[in-house]
Amino acid sequence: MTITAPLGLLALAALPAVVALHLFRDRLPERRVAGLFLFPVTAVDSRSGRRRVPLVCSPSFWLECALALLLAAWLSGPSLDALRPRHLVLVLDDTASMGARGTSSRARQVLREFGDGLAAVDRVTVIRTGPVPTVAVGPRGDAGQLAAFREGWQPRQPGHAATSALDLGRQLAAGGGELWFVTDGEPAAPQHDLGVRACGAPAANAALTNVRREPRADGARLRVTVTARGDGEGAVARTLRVGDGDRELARAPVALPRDGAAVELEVRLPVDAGRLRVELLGAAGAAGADELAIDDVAFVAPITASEVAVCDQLSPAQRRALRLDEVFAALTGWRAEAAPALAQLLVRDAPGEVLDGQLEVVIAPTAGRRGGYASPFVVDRAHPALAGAALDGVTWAAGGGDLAGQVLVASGDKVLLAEQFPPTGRRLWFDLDAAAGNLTRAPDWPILWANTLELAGRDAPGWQGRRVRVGDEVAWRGPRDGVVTLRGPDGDELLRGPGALAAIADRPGFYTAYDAAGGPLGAIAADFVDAAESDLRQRCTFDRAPSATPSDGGGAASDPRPLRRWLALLLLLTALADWWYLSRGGRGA
Amino acid sequence: MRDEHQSEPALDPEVRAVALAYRLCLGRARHRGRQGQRRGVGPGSSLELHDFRDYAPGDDLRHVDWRGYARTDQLRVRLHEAEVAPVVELLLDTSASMAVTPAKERALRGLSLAFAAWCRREGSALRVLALGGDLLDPAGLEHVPLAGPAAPAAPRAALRAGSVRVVLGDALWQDDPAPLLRRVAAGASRLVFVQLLDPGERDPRAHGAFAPAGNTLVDCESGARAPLRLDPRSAAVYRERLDRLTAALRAGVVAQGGDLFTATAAPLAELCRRDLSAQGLLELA
Repeated sequence: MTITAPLGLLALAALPAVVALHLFRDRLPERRVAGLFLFPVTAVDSRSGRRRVPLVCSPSFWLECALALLLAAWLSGPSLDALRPRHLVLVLDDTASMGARGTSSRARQVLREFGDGLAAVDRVTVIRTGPVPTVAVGPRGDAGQLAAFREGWQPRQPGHAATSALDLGRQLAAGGGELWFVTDGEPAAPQHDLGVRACGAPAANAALTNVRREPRADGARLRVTVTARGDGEGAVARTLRVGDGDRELARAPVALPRDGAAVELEVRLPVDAGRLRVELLGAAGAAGADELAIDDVAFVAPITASEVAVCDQLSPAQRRALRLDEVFAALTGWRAEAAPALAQLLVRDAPGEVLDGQLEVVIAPTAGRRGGYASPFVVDRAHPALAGAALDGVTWAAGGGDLAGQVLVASGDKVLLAEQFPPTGRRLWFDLDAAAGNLTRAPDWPILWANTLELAGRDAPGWQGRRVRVGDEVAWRGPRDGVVTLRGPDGDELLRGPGALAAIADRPGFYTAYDAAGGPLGAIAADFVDAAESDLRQRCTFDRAPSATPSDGGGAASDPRPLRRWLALLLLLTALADWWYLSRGGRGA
Repeated sequence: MRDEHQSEPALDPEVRAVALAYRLCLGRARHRGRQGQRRGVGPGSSLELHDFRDYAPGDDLRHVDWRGYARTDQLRVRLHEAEVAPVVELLLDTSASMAVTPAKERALRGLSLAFAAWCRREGSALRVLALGGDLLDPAGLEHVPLAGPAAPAAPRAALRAGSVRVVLGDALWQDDPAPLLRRVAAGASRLVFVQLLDPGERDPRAHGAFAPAGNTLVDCESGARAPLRLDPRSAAVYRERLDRLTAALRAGVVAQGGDLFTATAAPLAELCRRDLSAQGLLELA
């Protein structure tokens, strides 16, 4: 009932009117008596006109006062929002740039200020941005939870859009909540329904943008790419340090231009070099000289030989016709395996049993009249088995039947190579008569087998890949009957179980797999690499209040209609009660 | 034998019924008036022996006490009591309070007519006077305007000496009624005060005429107003004050040699039976 609801304010005037009516109106039913002096009353001579009589707080008086108040409330468009506790929704930029030295402290100060502004009944929700936004506090947590989160908050994610987090924030803030975005720069697009507390500051920053361990015949090399971006004059001086545990393998000064030009360094590694930690230190060799620490360190795991077990069940004649001995002799990363159950790649002339994680290559012409098909062929070049294969000038001799499955190579409506997915594993079926045609003599033939070997190796036990970036997935494939534990860089257990395990690498470092007995099975390195996040030149500090109320556009906003309906019902009941009371001869205005 | 019904004016059946059923019980007081059925003050012609006196020439020889003459040799004459029909003066309270409810007004008018009927039956002369007012026509009792003075006041017309005076009113006077009582009792052979009240005046709560939430009380005579919620405490105060007023009235009436009868407005037959006959003002005819 404010000046924004003048009707409600006007209805309040009914309240003094009711009081005045009860005060000045002779509203009691009259009763003529002969001896008024016998009654315990103070008589008023009314012959001179109507006079004010003492206010009698009858039920009718109260009902009519309530009627006036209810009418005022109904007309003012009541809302419970004012009675609701404040709901603060903070969308917190969780990109790594928020962890810059000055930015991090300012962001924590902003969170502290928000927490200090909360009353005991107020609620706060904190959403961390990310590819999948996460609710870090709440929903509708309290100031204590916010303080606890603030102490442990470590932004480490690579750059990402905050859109989904802001959308989630709008949904949670709909219905009277306040939406704030705590970040370190200007948001991508102006948004009027959220306040922005930017707490970044422009700064020069150097970063390790690429670290690669290359095996060489004369020992491994470590190739390191470093960049720096920042305003000012002169090069940014840093020291590169390569260590293996407590052992320092290399230390070298680096002068980095401020324009972001890459500087490449090469470090020769000893033969026994294990897990490497590559760091950018200050010019004097002290750590923490850089504004953003997360991109000043990289991790490199030892190169582990990965071999694909190949079980060749072809006859010697078939192998000769297919020239497999010559092809496999030219390939590396494989070994012969006699037991089909232990192999990752099975080579057969007829479909057989395929286990989970196995790739079966069937080379056999289908039934029917055989024929030759000359290139060009329709080739699914997106398939990894055909990567780099042109099949130019090839004459493919095949049977007259048809192959089921996904078509990889076809000539007209004749399928020559298909991929099939039995209940377990996968199968590549070459409809090929090795005795005819020239495919086995074409340059694409070894390429096809190299691709096939790599495809089979994908399902080989061990880490899937050698290095990942922070925010990507680290995946381990192990035997189905062996329990493996994945631990993070800090030794914390991420996952435990048999078969394939995968987790998000949320921080840089080594992720290690352990067998059931606790023995290490291998490690994979996760590094933070994001040139945009490492560039702190555009960061800024400002505060901007929201100019609109957040709304998710749905039905979650505060709807005053139910309350108005209840008020209307109450209004009606009160009026009926007053009418009923007066009709019974009660005192009324 | 006189035909009572033919000589009386047309009466309301209710009035005629009580007029035939009852007669005024005026006690053993001696009255003055024309010949009638009540004991008179002096000697008369009734059968009741009143006194003896010496014979004087001219006396009716039939009244000589011959037996006494034989014993005493003196001529004495028997004197018999006089039988009179006393003059009845009905003093009506014609204030507005007598019409505060229809039942009370109806009872007042019914009783007035009944008194007139009883007087006619006994051959009494009836004079009707308004308290604080003038002589009223007994034939117009049904239409007497009830707008007389509210305070106790004697009639402006002179009262007959030796008359039976019946005051009919509610006596709800805030002023002291003693001067009035002294005035109407002076020279009266008997003073009867009939206090007629409405049932709601006897007990306001029992009658249920008051709204539970309260009423604005309006004095029918002064017009004064006052709000009141008649709770048990208020009702108790009222009854206590009414009892005190009635007791004071009774004391004043008795002090003047009169009798106070209290009546509550009701159908006339019930009023006569329940109140006036029970208290001795009426007796069965």
